[in-house]
Amino acid sequence: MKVSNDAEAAPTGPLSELFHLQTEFQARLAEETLRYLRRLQGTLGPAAPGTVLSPGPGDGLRAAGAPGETVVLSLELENLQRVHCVVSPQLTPLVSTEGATWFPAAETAPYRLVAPGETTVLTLALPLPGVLPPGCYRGALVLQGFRDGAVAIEVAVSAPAPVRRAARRRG
Amino acid sequence: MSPATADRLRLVDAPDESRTTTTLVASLAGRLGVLPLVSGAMAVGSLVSGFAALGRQVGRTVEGAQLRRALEAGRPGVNGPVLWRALRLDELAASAAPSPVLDQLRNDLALLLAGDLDETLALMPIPPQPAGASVPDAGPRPEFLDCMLGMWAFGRELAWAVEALAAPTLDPAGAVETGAPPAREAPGPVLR
Repeated sequence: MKVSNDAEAAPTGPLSELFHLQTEFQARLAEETLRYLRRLQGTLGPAAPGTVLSPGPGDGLRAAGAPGETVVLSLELENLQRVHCVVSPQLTPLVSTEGATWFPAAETAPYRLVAPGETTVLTLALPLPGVLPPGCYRGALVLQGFRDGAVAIEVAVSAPAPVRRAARRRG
Repeated sequence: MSPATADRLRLVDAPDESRTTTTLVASLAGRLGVLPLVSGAMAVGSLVSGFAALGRQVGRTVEGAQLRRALEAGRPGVNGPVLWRALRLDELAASAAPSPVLDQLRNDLALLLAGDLDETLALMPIPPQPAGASVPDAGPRPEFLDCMLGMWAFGRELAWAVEALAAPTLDPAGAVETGAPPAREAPGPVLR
């Protein structure tokens, strides 16, 4: 068996490898046992019926604008359940193809009660900051509590309009 | 403002689940019925684990991500996890199944607005359906910041829910009432 006098060197040899494997096995066994017990406990507990999203004909929400403008996204939600639903939309950060990340400040009602059979329209106004680099920004509108229910969002931001020469002369 | 596309989505029942007044009453009764059978540690652990699961979802949104980043950068981002591990709250939460706290809150709220509650309660006791395969995977080990974000999201939704319930019959701000205020209790023999 090779023994090193270097304190930082990792121990080698068949016994240390066996010890390493055994430790790893014990740790994974404990973790998996815990996971199994958690799932067993959850499975036996009373169900909490939830809500899921049935996708519409579109493949998400799209908008386009220039920095300084405000784009509007609109989403219709129809409650086909037999009891009231709650809708609380939240945006994820939007990431452009060039790598810029935009944390939009959306203007929307954060909470909506939807009665059975009712259709409600969610409207989100997204002001595009003046410093936002041009590009195609993608993200999602998360409807919390709907089991990973989210709507894809795409906002195309164009370059700001060039200042006219005439306007410059006047200034 | 520039124009945008609109999409239309439907809110429906999850597969093999039905969200009706009967199933919601059964779910609430089932939760209360289980309480005497489980330990306090398990009940609290399940709630903490549920808040952490909610916090993980919320952390993906703009508000949640910003809040999490701000908390991480300050002293709570250091002291919280230290307390979490020292008091073994991580083990408490990791050993319990996450409680679907948001679904439960929304289901209980829907019961307060149900038009057929009396008829449904007349059918009691209604056996609850076990969660079975519908229970989500517990996910990674619960963390302090996830739990904190989850409690924030839950608290915010609870406040919105109470306001939404009261809104249809709420007096407008600045209202003035003249005359004697209505008596809240029937006068007893002492007051007569």
